[in-house]
Amino acid sequence: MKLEVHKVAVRRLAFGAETGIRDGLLTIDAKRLQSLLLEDARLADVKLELAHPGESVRIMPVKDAIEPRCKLDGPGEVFPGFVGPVETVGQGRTLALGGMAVLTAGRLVAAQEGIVDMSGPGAEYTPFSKTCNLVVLLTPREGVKLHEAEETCRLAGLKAAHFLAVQCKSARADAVESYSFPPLAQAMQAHPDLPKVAYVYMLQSQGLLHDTWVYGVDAKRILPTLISPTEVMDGAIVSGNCVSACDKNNTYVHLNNPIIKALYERHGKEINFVGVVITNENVTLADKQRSSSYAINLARMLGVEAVVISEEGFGNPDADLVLNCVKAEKAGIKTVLVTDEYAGANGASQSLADSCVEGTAVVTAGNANQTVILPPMDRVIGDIGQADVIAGGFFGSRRADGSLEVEIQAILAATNELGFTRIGAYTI
Amino acid sequence: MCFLHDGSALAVLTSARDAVHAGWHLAHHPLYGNYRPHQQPYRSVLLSRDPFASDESPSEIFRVSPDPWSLRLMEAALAVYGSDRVLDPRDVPETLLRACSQIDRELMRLPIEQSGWPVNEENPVV
Repeated sequence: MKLEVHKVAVRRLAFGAETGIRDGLLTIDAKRLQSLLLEDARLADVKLELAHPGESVRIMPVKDAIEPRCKLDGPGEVFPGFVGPVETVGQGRTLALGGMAVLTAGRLVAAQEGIVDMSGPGAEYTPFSKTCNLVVLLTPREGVKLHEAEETCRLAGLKAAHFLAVQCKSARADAVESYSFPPLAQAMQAHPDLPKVAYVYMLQSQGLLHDTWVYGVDAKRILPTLISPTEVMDGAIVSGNCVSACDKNNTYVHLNNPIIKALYERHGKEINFVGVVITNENVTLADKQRSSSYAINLARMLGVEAVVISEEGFGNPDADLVLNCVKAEKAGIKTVLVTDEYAGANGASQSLADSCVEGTAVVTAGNANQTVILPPMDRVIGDIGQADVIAGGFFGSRRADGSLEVEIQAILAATNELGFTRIGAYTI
Repeated sequence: MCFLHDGSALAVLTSARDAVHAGWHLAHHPLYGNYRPHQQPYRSVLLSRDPFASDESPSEIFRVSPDPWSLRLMEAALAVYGSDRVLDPRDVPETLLRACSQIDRELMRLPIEQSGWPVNEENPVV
Protein backbone atom coordinates (compact mmCIF):
# COMPACT_ATOMS: atom_id res chain seq x y z
CA MET A 1 0.00 0.00 0.00
CA LYS A 2 1.25 3.46 -0.88
CA LEU A 3 -0.42 6.69 0.13
CA GLU A 4 0.50 10.26 -0.67
CA VAL A 5 -1.01 12.91 1.60
CA HIS A 6 -1.13 16.21 -0.29
CA LYS A 7 -1.16 18.93 2.35
CA VAL A 8 -2.62 22.28 1.42
CA ALA A 9 -1.78 24.90 4.05
CA VAL A 10 -4.71 26.91 5.40
CA ARG A 11 -3.70 30.12 7.15
CA ARG A 12 -7.02 31.97 7.36
CA LEU A 13 -10.76 31.24 7.12
CA ALA A 14 -13.51 33.53 5.85
CA PHE A 15 -17.11 33.19 4.78
CA GLY A 16 -17.83 34.04 1.14
CA ALA A 17 -19.90 33.32 -1.94
CA GLU A 18 -17.98 30.21 -2.95
CA THR A 19 -15.89 27.60 -1.19
CA GLY A 20 -12.27 27.47 -2.30
CA ILE A 21 -8.70 28.23 -1.27
CA ARG A 22 -6.36 30.91 -2.54
CA ASP A 23 -3.04 31.99 -1.04
CA GLY A 24 -3.82 30.18 2.21
CA LEU A 25 -7.25 31.80 2.61
CA LEU A 26 -10.04 29.25 2.69
CA THR A 27 -13.35 30.86 1.80
CA ILE A 28 -16.44 28.96 2.90
CA ASP A 29 -19.90 29.19 1.36
CA ALA A 30 -21.75 28.95 4.67
CA LYS A 31 -25.23 28.68 3.18
CA ARG A 32 -24.29 25.77 0.96
CA LEU A 33 -22.58 23.94 3.79
CA GLN A 34 -25.51 24.54 6.15
CA SER A 35 -27.92 23.23 3.50
CA LEU A 36 -25.81 20.12 3.05
CA LEU A 37 -25.79 19.40 6.78
CA LEU A 38 -29.49 20.16 7.22
CA GLU A 39 -30.30 17.43 4.69
CA ASP A 40 -30.19 15.30 7.82
CA ALA A 41 -33.76 15.76 9.05
CA ARG A 42 -32.70 14.97 12.60
CA LEU A 43 -30.97 18.35 12.87
CA ALA A 44 -33.04 21.39 13.83
CA ASP A 45 -30.30 23.96 13.40
CA VAL A 46 -26.72 24.34 12.17
CA LYS A 47 -24.67 27.45 12.90
CA LEU A 48 -21.17 28.09 11.58
CA GLU A 49 -18.55 30.23 13.31
CA LEU A 50 -14.86 30.89 12.71
CA ALA A 51 -12.06 31.06 15.26
CA HIS A 52 -8.39 31.86 14.65
CA PRO A 53 -5.25 31.45 16.75
CA GLY A 54 -4.67 34.31 19.16
CA GLU A 55 -8.27 35.53 19.23
CA SER A 56 -10.08 36.03 22.52
CA VAL A 57 -12.46 33.16 21.84
CA ARG A 58 -13.64 30.20 23.90
CA ILE A 59 -15.29 27.24 22.15
CA MET A 60 -17.33 24.77 24.20
CA PRO A 61 -18.54 22.09 24.46
CA VAL A 62 -16.47 20.64 21.62
CA LYS A 63 -17.46 17.15 20.52
CA ASP A 64 -15.12 16.13 17.69
CA ALA A 65 -12.28 17.68 15.70
CA ILE A 66 -11.74 16.65 12.10
CA GLU A 67 -9.09 17.59 9.55
CA PRO A 68 -10.71 18.16 6.14
CA ARG A 69 -9.64 15.38 3.77
CA CYS A 70 -10.82 13.76 0.55
CA LYS A 71 -9.43 11.27 -1.94
CA LEU A 72 -7.79 12.67 -5.07
CA ASP A 73 -7.45 9.16 -6.45
CA GLY A 74 -7.23 5.63 -5.22
CA PRO A 75 -9.89 3.20 -4.06
CA GLY A 76 -12.78 4.42 -1.95
CA GLU A 77 -13.26 7.72 -0.18
CA VAL A 78 -12.16 9.05 3.21
CA PHE A 79 -14.19 8.12 6.31
CA PRO A 80 -15.34 4.81 4.77
CA GLY A 81 -18.67 3.59 6.08
CA PHE A 82 -19.76 7.17 6.71
CA VAL A 83 -18.81 9.55 3.90
CA GLY A 84 -17.36 6.96 1.55
CA PRO A 85 -18.44 3.41 0.71
CA VAL A 86 -17.04 0.54 2.77
CA GLU A 87 -14.11 0.17 0.37
CA THR A 88 -10.64 -0.42 1.78
CA VAL A 89 -8.76 2.92 1.82
CA GLY A 90 -5.13 3.85 2.38
CA GLN A 91 -3.84 3.88 -1.20
CA GLY A 92 -3.43 6.52 -3.89
CA ARG A 93 -3.52 10.24 -3.14
CA THR A 94 -5.41 12.08 -0.42
CA LEU A 95 -5.83 15.82 -0.09
CA ALA A 96 -5.66 17.30 3.42
CA LEU A 97 -6.33 20.89 4.45
CA GLY A 98 -3.55 21.37 6.98
CA GLY A 99 -3.56 24.09 9.61
CA MET A 100 -7.30 23.95 10.13
CA ALA A 101 -9.93 21.85 11.85
CA VAL A 102 -13.65 21.39 11.80
CA LEU A 103 -14.85 21.42 15.41
CA THR A 104 -18.33 20.09 16.10
CA ALA A 105 -20.00 21.56 19.15
CA GLY A 106 -23.36 21.31 20.84
CA ARG A 107 -25.04 19.72 23.78
CA LEU A 108 -26.09 16.07 23.71
CA VAL A 109 -26.18 15.18 27.39
CA ALA A 110 -24.52 16.57 30.45
CA ALA A 111 -20.91 16.04 31.52
CA GLN A 112 -19.18 15.59 28.22
CA GLU A 113 -17.03 17.27 25.60
CA GLY A 114 -14.42 19.96 26.02
CA ILE A 115 -13.02 23.45 25.89
CA VAL A 116 -10.82 25.08 23.26
CA ASP A 117 -9.46 28.54 24.12
CA MET A 118 -7.82 30.33 21.20
CA SER A 119 -5.64 32.49 23.47
CA GLY A 120 -4.61 32.76 27.12
CA PRO A 121 -3.39 30.02 29.46
CA GLY A 122 -5.92 27.44 28.21
CA ALA A 123 -4.59 27.79 24.68
CA GLU A 124 -1.24 26.45 25.82
CA TYR A 125 -2.83 23.09 26.59
CA THR A 126 -4.70 22.41 23.37
CA PRO A 127 -3.21 21.93 19.89
CA PHE A 128 -6.50 23.20 18.49
CA SER A 129 -5.67 26.74 19.62
CA LYS A 130 -3.13 26.75 16.79
CA THR A 131 -5.47 25.65 14.02
CA CYS A 132 -7.90 27.87 12.14
CA ASN A 133 -11.23 26.43 13.24
CA LEU A 134 -14.59 26.16 11.55
CA VAL A 135 -16.98 25.53 14.44
CA VAL A 136 -20.15 23.67 13.50
CA LEU A 137 -22.77 24.25 16.19
CA LEU A 138 -25.36 21.52 16.03
CA THR A 139 -28.83 21.34 17.53
CA PRO A 140 -30.67 18.04 17.09
CA ARG A 141 -34.46 18.19 16.77
CA GLU A 142 -36.46 17.83 19.93
CA GLY A 143 -37.49 14.24 20.46
CA VAL A 144 -34.58 12.73 18.53
CA LYS A 145 -33.25 9.68 20.36
CA LEU A 146 -29.90 10.08 22.04
CA HIS A 147 -28.17 7.47 19.86
CA GLU A 148 -29.41 9.20 16.73
CA ALA A 149 -28.40 12.63 18.01
CA GLU A 150 -24.86 11.39 18.61
CA GLU A 151 -24.75 9.84 15.15
CA THR A 152 -26.13 13.00 13.57
CA CYS A 153 -23.45 15.17 15.14
CA ARG A 154 -20.71 12.70 14.25
CA LEU A 155 -21.82 12.55 10.60
CA ALA A 156 -22.20 16.32 10.34
CA GLY A 157 -18.57 16.86 11.28
CA LEU A 158 -17.34 14.28 8.78
CA LYS A 159 -19.55 15.66 6.02
CA ALA A 160 -18.43 19.24 6.66
CA ALA A 161 -14.76 18.25 6.62
CA HIS A 162 -15.16 16.23 3.44
CA PHE A 163 -17.13 19.04 1.76
CA LEU A 164 -14.36 21.58 2.40
CA ALA A 165 -11.64 19.27 1.07
CA VAL A 166 -13.59 18.37 -2.06
CA GLN A 167 -14.04 22.06 -2.91
CA CYS A 168 -10.25 22.46 -2.82
CA LYS A 169 -9.34 19.46 -4.97
CA SER A 170 -7.70 21.61 -7.62
CA ALA A 171 -5.45 23.39 -5.12
CA ARG A 172 -1.72 22.85 -5.40
CA ALA A 173 -0.24 21.06 -2.40
CA ASP A 174 2.27 22.91 -0.24
CA ALA A 175 3.80 19.60 0.86
CA VAL A 176 3.44 15.95 -0.06
CA GLU A 177 3.97 13.21 2.53
CA SER A 178 4.52 9.67 1.21
CA TYR A 179 3.83 6.54 3.23
CA SER A 180 4.16 2.96 2.13
CA PHE A 181 3.10 -0.20 3.86
CA PRO A 182 4.45 -3.28 2.10
CA PRO A 183 2.90 -6.76 2.12
CA LEU A 184 3.83 -8.68 5.27
CA ALA A 185 6.13 -11.07 3.40
CA GLN A 186 8.27 -8.12 2.32
CA ALA A 187 8.02 -6.33 5.65
CA MET A 188 9.30 -9.37 7.50
CA GLN A 189 12.36 -9.66 5.25
CA ALA A 190 13.21 -5.98 5.39
CA HIS A 191 15.86 -4.60 7.75
CA PRO A 192 16.95 -7.95 9.21
CA ASP A 193 19.32 -6.24 11.64
CA LEU A 194 16.61 -4.12 13.23
CA PRO A 195 14.04 -5.19 15.83
CA LYS A 196 10.53 -5.77 14.52
CA VAL A 197 8.04 -3.47 16.25
CA ALA A 198 4.25 -3.27 16.06
CA TYR A 199 1.77 -0.78 17.45
CA VAL A 200 -1.19 -1.92 19.57
CA TYR A 201 -3.76 0.84 19.16
CA MET A 202 -6.45 0.75 21.85
CA LEU A 203 -9.82 2.25 20.89
CA GLN A 204 -12.42 3.45 23.37
CA SER A 205 -15.54 1.28 22.97
CA GLN A 206 -17.54 1.32 26.18
CA GLY A 207 -20.94 2.37 24.88
CA LEU A 208 -22.89 5.42 23.80
CA LEU A 209 -20.73 8.59 23.78
CA HIS A 210 -17.71 6.38 24.46
CA ASP A 211 -17.42 4.66 21.08
CA THR A 212 -15.08 4.45 18.10
CA TRP A 213 -15.92 3.28 14.60
CA VAL A 214 -13.78 1.28 12.17
CA TYR A 215 -15.00 1.29 8.57
CA GLY A 216 -18.42 2.17 10.00
CA VAL A 217 -18.36 -0.79 12.41
CA ASP A 218 -18.76 -0.22 16.14
CA ALA A 219 -15.32 -1.09 17.56
CA LYS A 220 -16.83 -2.92 20.53
CA ARG A 221 -18.08 -5.55 18.04
CA ILE A 222 -14.67 -6.34 16.54
CA LEU A 223 -11.97 -8.80 17.39
CA PRO A 224 -8.55 -7.12 17.34
CA THR A 225 -7.30 -6.94 13.79
CA LEU A 226 -4.44 -5.71 11.65
CA ILE A 227 -4.82 -2.40 9.86
CA SER A 228 -2.48 -0.50 7.60
CA PRO A 229 -1.35 2.84 9.04
CA THR A 230 -2.28 4.41 5.73
CA GLU A 231 -5.88 3.27 6.22
CA VAL A 232 -5.90 5.23 9.50
CA MET A 233 -4.71 8.33 7.60
CA ASP A 234 -7.69 7.97 5.26
CA GLY A 235 -10.19 8.01 8.12
CA ALA A 236 -10.81 4.29 8.61
CA ILE A 237 -11.05 5.11 12.34
CA VAL A 238 -13.66 7.68 13.36
CA SER A 239 -14.30 8.96 16.87
CA GLY A 240 -17.69 8.75 18.54
CA ASN A 241 -16.11 9.42 21.90
CA CYS A 242 -17.54 12.51 23.55
CA VAL A 243 -16.28 12.10 27.10
CA SER A 244 -13.11 13.30 28.78
CA ALA A 245 -11.84 15.90 26.36
CA CYS A 246 -8.21 15.76 27.46
CA ASP A 247 -7.60 12.11 26.59
CA LYS A 248 -10.19 11.13 24.05
CA ASN A 249 -8.83 10.50 20.57
CA ASN A 250 -10.87 12.73 18.29
CA THR A 251 -10.96 12.01 14.56
CA TYR A 252 -8.31 14.65 13.78
CA VAL A 253 -5.92 12.87 16.14
CA HIS A 254 -6.62 9.47 14.56
CA LEU A 255 -5.89 10.96 11.10
CA ASN A 256 -2.62 12.44 12.37
CA ASN A 257 -1.65 9.80 14.93
CA PRO A 258 1.78 10.91 16.25
CA ILE A 259 2.74 7.38 17.32
CA ILE A 260 2.29 6.10 13.78
CA LYS A 261 4.31 9.05 12.46
CA ALA A 262 7.08 8.44 15.01
CA LEU A 263 7.24 4.74 14.11
CA TYR A 264 7.50 5.68 10.42
CA GLU A 265 10.31 8.14 11.20
CA ARG A 266 12.30 5.42 12.98
CA HIS A 267 11.48 2.72 10.42
CA GLY A 268 14.59 1.41 8.69
CA LYS A 269 16.84 3.35 11.08
CA GLU A 270 16.16 2.07 14.59
CA ILE A 271 13.29 -0.37 14.08
CA ASN A 272 11.40 -2.37 11.49
CA PHE A 273 7.81 -1.10 11.87
CA VAL A 274 5.77 -4.07 10.67
CA GLY A 275 2.19 -3.40 11.61
CA VAL A 276 -0.67 -1.88 13.56
CA VAL A 277 -3.07 -3.95 15.64
CA ILE A 278 -6.29 -2.20 16.62
CA THR A 279 -8.08 -3.45 19.71
CA ASN A 280 -11.00 -2.27 21.81
CA GLU A 281 -11.67 -1.26 25.41
CA ASN A 282 -14.91 -2.99 26.29
CA VAL A 283 -16.68 -3.07 29.64
CA THR A 284 -17.14 -6.79 30.30
CA LEU A 285 -14.31 -8.77 31.79
CA ALA A 286 -14.83 -11.53 29.22
CA ASP A 287 -14.36 -9.02 26.39
CA LYS A 288 -11.27 -7.59 28.07
CA GLN A 289 -9.74 -11.05 28.31
CA ARG A 290 -10.68 -11.96 24.74
CA SER A 291 -9.44 -8.74 23.15
CA SER A 292 -6.16 -8.54 25.06
CA SER A 293 -5.40 -12.19 24.33
CA TYR A 294 -6.17 -11.79 20.66
CA ALA A 295 -4.32 -8.49 20.21
CA ILE A 296 -1.18 -10.02 21.65
CA ASN A 297 -1.77 -13.18 19.65
CA LEU A 298 -1.60 -11.05 16.50
CA ALA A 299 1.62 -9.45 17.73
CA ARG A 300 3.05 -12.94 18.28
CA MET A 301 1.97 -14.01 14.79
CA LEU A 302 3.86 -10.99 13.44
CA GLY A 303 6.92 -12.18 15.34
CA VAL A 304 7.65 -8.76 16.79
CA GLU A 305 10.16 -8.13 19.53
CA ALA A 306 8.39 -5.08 20.92
CA VAL A 307 5.07 -3.28 20.85
CA VAL A 308 4.02 0.28 21.60
CA ILE A 309 0.61 0.24 23.30
CA SER A 310 -1.50 3.39 23.52
CA GLU A 311 -4.55 3.76 25.77
CA GLU A 312 -7.63 5.92 25.21
CA GLY A 313 -9.33 7.36 28.26
CA PHE A 314 -8.87 6.28 31.85
CA GLY A 315 -10.39 4.27 34.70
CA ASN A 316 -11.90 1.13 33.28
CA PRO A 317 -9.51 1.07 30.23
CA ASP A 318 -6.52 1.02 32.58
CA ALA A 319 -7.34 -2.67 33.05
CA ASP A 320 -7.11 -3.27 29.28
CA LEU A 321 -3.75 -1.49 29.18
CA VAL A 322 -2.44 -3.69 31.97
CA LEU A 323 -3.80 -6.89 30.40
CA ASN A 324 -2.18 -6.03 27.07
CA CYS A 325 1.12 -5.27 28.81
CA VAL A 326 1.19 -8.41 30.97
CA LYS A 327 0.23 -10.74 28.11
CA ALA A 328 2.80 -9.23 25.75
CA GLU A 329 5.62 -9.36 28.28
CA LYS A 330 4.74 -12.95 29.16
CA ALA A 331 4.92 -13.76 25.46
CA GLY A 332 8.45 -12.33 25.39
CA ILE A 333 7.43 -9.10 23.68
CA LYS A 334 8.78 -5.91 25.22
CA THR A 335 6.27 -3.13 25.78
CA VAL A 336 6.17 0.63 25.87
CA LEU A 337 2.90 1.99 27.27
CA VAL A 338 1.46 5.43 26.52
CA THR A 339 -1.14 6.73 28.96
CA ASP A 340 -1.98 9.77 31.08
CA GLU A 341 -2.51 10.21 34.81
CA TYR A 342 -5.22 11.11 37.31
CA ALA A 343 -2.87 11.66 40.20
CA GLY A 344 -4.79 14.34 42.10
CA ALA A 345 -4.22 18.09 42.00
CA ASN A 346 -0.84 17.69 43.72
CA GLY A 347 0.19 14.70 41.61
CA ALA A 348 0.72 12.52 44.67
CA SER A 349 -2.14 10.02 44.27
CA GLN A 350 -2.04 6.75 42.40
CA SER A 351 -2.01 7.62 38.69
CA LEU A 352 -3.87 4.68 37.19
CA ALA A 353 -6.68 2.44 38.39
CA ASP A 354 -4.63 -0.66 37.62
CA SER A 355 -0.97 -1.53 37.47
CA CYS A 356 1.49 -4.37 36.88
CA VAL A 357 5.15 -5.04 37.58
CA GLU A 358 5.71 -5.84 33.91
CA GLY A 359 4.96 -2.22 32.94
CA THR A 360 8.47 -0.82 33.24
CA ALA A 361 8.48 1.53 30.24
CA VAL A 362 5.62 4.00 30.47
CA VAL A 363 5.18 7.36 28.77
CA THR A 364 2.76 9.80 30.40
CA ALA A 365 0.94 12.57 28.60
CA GLY A 366 0.38 14.48 31.83
CA ASN A 367 -1.78 14.75 34.92
CA ALA A 368 -5.41 15.48 33.98
CA ASN A 369 -6.19 16.60 37.54
CA GLN A 370 -4.03 19.69 37.29
CA THR A 371 -6.26 22.75 37.68
CA VAL A 372 -6.09 25.91 35.62
CA ILE A 373 -7.92 29.24 35.70
CA LEU A 374 -9.24 30.19 32.29
CA PRO A 375 -9.85 33.96 32.15
CA PRO A 376 -12.96 35.40 30.47
CA MET A 377 -12.90 35.63 26.69
CA ASP A 378 -14.47 38.34 24.52
CA ARG A 379 -16.48 35.78 22.57
CA VAL A 380 -17.85 32.38 23.52
CA ILE A 381 -18.86 30.02 20.75
CA GLY A 382 -21.28 27.46 22.15
CA ASP A 383 -22.63 27.25 25.66
CA ILE A 384 -20.68 28.58 28.66
CA GLY A 385 -23.38 27.11 30.90
CA GLN A 386 -21.87 23.68 30.29
CA ALA A 387 -18.82 24.59 32.38
CA ASP A 388 -20.41 23.32 35.57
CA VAL A 389 -21.09 19.86 34.20
CA ILE A 390 -18.30 19.41 31.71
CA ALA A 391 -15.88 16.56 32.44
CA GLY A 392 -13.02 18.25 34.26
CA GLY A 393 -15.29 20.97 35.52
CA PHE A 394 -17.46 20.81 38.62
CA PHE A 395 -20.26 22.72 40.23
CA GLY A 396 -18.91 26.18 40.79
CA SER A 397 -16.47 26.01 37.87
CA ARG A 398 -17.99 29.10 36.34
CA ARG A 399 -17.04 32.13 38.38
CA ALA A 400 -18.79 35.50 38.65
CA ASP A 401 -16.23 37.30 36.48
CA GLY A 402 -16.76 34.83 33.64
CA SER A 403 -13.55 32.92 34.27
CA LEU A 404 -13.50 29.16 34.68
CA GLU A 405 -11.65 27.05 37.19
CA VAL A 406 -11.24 23.61 35.69
CA GLU A 407 -8.97 20.63 35.67
CA ILE A 408 -7.15 20.29 32.37
CA GLN A 409 -9.33 17.22 31.77
CA ALA A 410 -11.82 19.75 30.37
CA ILE A 411 -9.41 20.95 27.67
CA LEU A 412 -9.41 19.21 24.31
CA ALA A 413 -6.31 17.00 23.85
CA ALA A 414 -4.54 18.44 26.93
CA THR A 415 -3.24 14.97 27.90
CA ASN A 416 -3.86 13.09 24.68
CA GLU A 417 -2.52 9.56 24.99
CA LEU A 418 -1.24 9.43 21.42
CA GLY A 419 1.01 12.35 22.28
CA PHE A 420 -1.01 14.86 20.28
CA THR A 421 -0.36 17.56 22.85
CA ARG A 422 0.99 21.10 23.04
CA ILE A 423 3.09 20.69 26.16
CA GLY A 424 5.56 17.86 26.56
CA ALA A 425 9.03 16.85 27.56
CA TYR A 426 11.55 14.56 26.00
CA THR A 427 14.17 12.58 27.88
CA ILE A 428 17.45 12.59 26.02
CA MET B 1 -31.34 -10.55 42.65
CA CYS B 2 -31.25 -6.81 42.34
CA PHE B 3 -30.10 -4.47 45.10
CA LEU B 4 -31.01 -0.78 44.90
CA HIS B 5 -29.01 1.62 47.02
CA ASP B 6 -30.51 4.93 48.06
CA GLY B 7 -27.09 6.47 48.38
CA SER B 8 -24.00 7.17 46.38
CA ALA B 9 -22.08 5.01 43.93
CA LEU B 10 -19.67 4.27 46.77
CA ALA B 11 -22.43 2.36 48.61
CA VAL B 12 -23.03 0.31 45.46
CA LEU B 13 -19.36 -0.54 45.10
CA THR B 14 -18.98 -1.42 48.77
CA SER B 15 -21.95 -3.74 48.52
CA ALA B 16 -20.54 -5.30 45.35
CA ARG B 17 -17.16 -5.82 47.04
CA ASP B 18 -18.95 -7.66 49.87
CA ALA B 19 -20.72 -9.81 47.29
CA VAL B 20 -17.39 -10.68 45.68
CA HIS B 21 -16.15 -11.85 49.07
CA ALA B 22 -19.26 -14.04 49.21
CA GLY B 23 -18.32 -15.74 45.94
CA TRP B 24 -19.95 -13.51 43.33
CA HIS B 25 -18.00 -12.67 40.15
CA LEU B 26 -17.89 -9.31 38.41
CA ALA B 27 -19.37 -9.42 34.91
CA HIS B 28 -17.67 -6.15 33.99
CA HIS B 29 -15.17 -3.63 35.26
CA PRO B 30 -16.56 -1.74 38.27
CA LEU B 31 -15.25 1.65 37.11
CA TYR B 32 -16.62 3.65 34.25
CA GLY B 33 -14.33 4.52 31.38
CA ASN B 34 -13.76 8.29 31.31
CA TYR B 35 -15.96 9.25 34.29
CA ARG B 36 -14.60 9.98 37.72
CA PRO B 37 -16.51 9.66 41.01
CA HIS B 38 -17.45 13.34 41.08
CA GLN B 39 -18.69 13.28 37.48
CA GLN B 40 -21.32 10.52 37.60
CA PRO B 41 -23.65 10.01 40.58
CA TYR B 42 -24.80 6.57 39.47
CA ARG B 43 -23.07 3.21 39.32
CA SER B 44 -24.58 -0.12 38.45
CA VAL B 45 -22.69 -3.37 38.96
CA LEU B 46 -23.64 -6.74 37.52
CA LEU B 47 -22.35 -9.86 39.28
CA SER B 48 -22.86 -13.53 38.62
CA ARG B 49 -22.48 -16.62 40.74
CA ASP B 50 -22.08 -20.28 40.00
CA PRO B 51 -25.49 -21.78 40.89
CA PHE B 52 -23.78 -24.87 42.33
CA ALA B 53 -21.43 -22.90 44.59
CA SER B 54 -21.98 -23.39 48.29
CA ASP B 55 -20.12 -22.78 51.54
CA GLU B 56 -21.00 -26.32 52.63
CA SER B 57 -20.06 -28.12 49.42
CA PRO B 58 -17.84 -31.14 50.12
CA SER B 59 -16.21 -30.59 46.73
CA GLU B 60 -13.54 -27.94 46.59
CA ILE B 61 -14.60 -27.14 43.03
CA PHE B 62 -18.01 -25.94 44.19
CA ARG B 63 -16.92 -24.33 47.44
CA VAL B 64 -17.40 -20.58 47.56
CA SER B 65 -14.21 -18.58 47.24
CA PRO B 66 -13.66 -14.98 46.16
CA ASP B 67 -12.61 -14.56 42.54
CA PRO B 68 -9.13 -12.94 42.78
CA TRP B 69 -9.48 -10.76 39.69
CA SER B 70 -12.93 -9.50 40.72
CA LEU B 71 -11.60 -8.74 44.16
CA ARG B 72 -8.56 -6.92 42.83
CA LEU B 73 -10.66 -4.76 40.51
CA MET B 74 -13.16 -4.00 43.29
CA GLU B 75 -10.45 -2.92 45.69
CA ALA B 76 -8.83 -0.77 43.00
CA ALA B 77 -12.20 0.84 42.22
CA LEU B 78 -12.83 1.56 45.88
CA ALA B 79 -9.38 3.13 46.10
CA VAL B 80 -10.31 5.46 43.23
CA TYR B 81 -13.57 6.39 44.96
CA GLY B 82 -11.65 6.90 48.18
CA SER B 83 -9.33 9.42 46.55
CA ASP B 84 -11.99 11.61 44.91
CA ARG B 85 -15.13 13.48 45.89
CA VAL B 86 -18.10 11.17 45.42
CA LEU B 87 -21.18 12.72 43.85
CA ASP B 88 -24.36 11.92 45.77
CA PRO B 89 -27.45 11.73 43.52
CA ARG B 90 -29.40 13.81 46.03
CA ASP B 91 -27.06 16.75 45.38
CA VAL B 92 -27.48 16.70 41.61
CA PRO B 93 -30.06 18.73 39.61
CA GLU B 94 -32.89 16.70 38.11
CA THR B 95 -31.94 17.45 34.48
CA LEU B 96 -28.40 16.23 35.05
CA LEU B 97 -29.63 13.15 36.90
CA ARG B 98 -31.72 12.10 33.93
CA ALA B 99 -28.75 12.40 31.57
CA CYS B 100 -26.49 10.52 33.98
CA SER B 101 -28.99 7.69 34.39
CA GLN B 102 -29.21 7.35 30.60
CA ILE B 103 -25.44 7.12 30.34
CA ASP B 104 -25.29 4.57 33.17
CA ARG B 105 -27.82 2.43 31.36
CA GLU B 106 -25.97 2.72 28.04
CA LEU B 107 -22.65 1.74 29.63
CA MET B 108 -24.37 -1.27 31.22
CA ARG B 109 -26.02 -2.29 27.97
CA LEU B 110 -23.33 -4.70 26.82
CA PRO B 111 -22.89 -6.59 30.12
CA ILE B 112 -26.66 -6.94 30.49
CA GLU B 113 -27.17 -8.10 26.92
CA GLN B 114 -24.23 -10.50 27.13
CA SER B 115 -25.83 -11.98 30.23
CA GLY B 116 -28.90 -12.77 28.15
CA TRP B 117 -31.25 -10.07 29.36
CA PRO B 118 -32.92 -7.36 27.29
CA VAL B 119 -32.27 -3.70 28.01
CA ASN B 120 -35.45 -1.71 28.52
CA GLU B 121 -35.82 0.83 25.70
CA GLU B 122 -37.27 4.02 27.09
CA ASN B 123 -36.32 5.99 24.01
CA PRO B 124 -34.10 8.55 25.69
CA VAL B 125 -34.31 11.81 23.81
CA VAL B 126 -32.22 14.92 23.59
